[in-house]
Amino acid sequence: MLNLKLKLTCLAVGFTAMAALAEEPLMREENHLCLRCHADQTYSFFNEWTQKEERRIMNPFHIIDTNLYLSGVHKSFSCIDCHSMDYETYPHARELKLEPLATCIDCHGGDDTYAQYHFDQIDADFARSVHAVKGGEHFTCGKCHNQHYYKVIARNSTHISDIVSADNQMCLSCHTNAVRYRLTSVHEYPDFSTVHAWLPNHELHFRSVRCIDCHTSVEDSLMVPHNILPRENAVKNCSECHSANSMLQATLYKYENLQARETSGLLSAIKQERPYIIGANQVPLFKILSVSILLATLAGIVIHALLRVFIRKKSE
Amino acid sequence: MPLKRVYFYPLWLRIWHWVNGAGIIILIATGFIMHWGIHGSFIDFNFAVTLHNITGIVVAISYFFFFIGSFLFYNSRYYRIRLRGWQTRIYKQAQYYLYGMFKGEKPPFPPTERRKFNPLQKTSYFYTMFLILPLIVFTGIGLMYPELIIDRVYRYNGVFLTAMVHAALGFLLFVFLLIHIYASTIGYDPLANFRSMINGWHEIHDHPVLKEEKDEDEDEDEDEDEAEDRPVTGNTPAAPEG
Repeated sequence: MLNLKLKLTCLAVGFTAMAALAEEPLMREENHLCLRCHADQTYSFFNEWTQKEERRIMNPFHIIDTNLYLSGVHKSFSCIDCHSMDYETYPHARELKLEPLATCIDCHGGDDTYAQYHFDQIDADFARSVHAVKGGEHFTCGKCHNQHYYKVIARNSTHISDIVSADNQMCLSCHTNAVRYRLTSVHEYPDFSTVHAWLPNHELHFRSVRCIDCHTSVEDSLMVPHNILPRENAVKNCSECHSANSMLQATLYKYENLQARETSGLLSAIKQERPYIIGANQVPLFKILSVSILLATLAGIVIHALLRVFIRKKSE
Repeated sequence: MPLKRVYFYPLWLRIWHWVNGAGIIILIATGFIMHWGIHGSFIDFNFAVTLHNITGIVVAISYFFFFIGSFLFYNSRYYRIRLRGWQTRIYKQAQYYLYGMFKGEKPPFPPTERRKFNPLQKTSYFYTMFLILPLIVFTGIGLMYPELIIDRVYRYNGVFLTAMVHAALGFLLFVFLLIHIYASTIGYDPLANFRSMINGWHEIHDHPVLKEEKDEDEDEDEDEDEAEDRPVTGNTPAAPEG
């Protein structure tokens, strides 16, 4: 009897474990060959010249973080879905370095399956951006969006801080790194802090809003605008955000996934995930209350002063 | 010609008062500009923020000196509130301001060397100087260095709560300032109290206060607090308040 009970328990645990495994994203089997080298900092191979097994350091730019890969949108992909099949042999053929890599539009453009993401509109918006105009064909989607690890954050996250952090990371990866900046630009590398020295508390700004909130024009039909404006056209007027009619309502705070978290009521503004922005967070009831108190005080003072003047004149 | 001159406002107090007054006016103006987002056309937001921060630091430092000076030079004794009969005294003073003064009544608590403030002044100054101002300084420091503020207080945004308290207290201070400036015109003449705050001397004109002081000097056993809060009695003609 006890034996039967134990067997049943083991069976139940087994099913539970299988179910859990089924939910876990699994790396495609064919990727293991690549990841045997590209998921580690070192790799080993048999050197036919020396007839020895050798260990070398992997180029850090060619290392894949498998955990991040499995949490990205392309987790179900095989390496050779995007890269040449010829990579399956080692040493890799020299000409593979010149292999043209696919861009987002190569797969997603004109495809109704992805219509909700508006890839074609994004492509058109990007084509007008300073990145496309000055960077030309060198400036591919992958320069900002890492295809290996890309996650749809603006659309899904319920935390503004996550959206801001992920978005700004894309910009800062080049704009605070002269080497990466040189990949797409022949222009002088502008020092990030010097360029933003005019912005008070710029560290606080970078934690609270996205770079694109100032560096793109407001675009209603796109979740995330891609028309990065030239530096001289970026928002520099503080009141664009620091006012009751803050432009952030039409940019960072427009996402329905964020609004879903927001509550109604008097103190809703404080309960929301939004950071405090001077001038932009006004509670209408408090505004009416303060104006009423102010007017009542002024009226009281004027009436009292008039009575004093009137009675003094009368007594004279 | 005044009957008596009392040195109410020593130099340190006058310097603090005017520095604090000018600072509070700048803080209220820049605070309104920032909070209601009415900057842009006539004042730069950046300038308003910088001016608010610098003035805030000056006012906080000047408040620190006021606090130390008040205890060092016994100025704090004028702010001491005796709770027994407090409501009655407040009521009497309010009654005087609301209609007594228009009927030619004399002020119930005229200033003396021992009593600088009437009960309404004492109460409002006490709350302003020892509650609102320290709170506004603390919340202001928090907003200047947001990393000092707790991120979330239950479901509420810590910085947001601090900013709301800071703005609400600033607004109360503005209301107090309006009433304070207007009430300062209720003197022997409308500018008498302003002159006092410049030269330090408060002038006592035709008023039973002198008689009261004489009585108090004779009665050495009388409790000082009692004397400070005891209303004036008698049928002497009314005199403007100082």
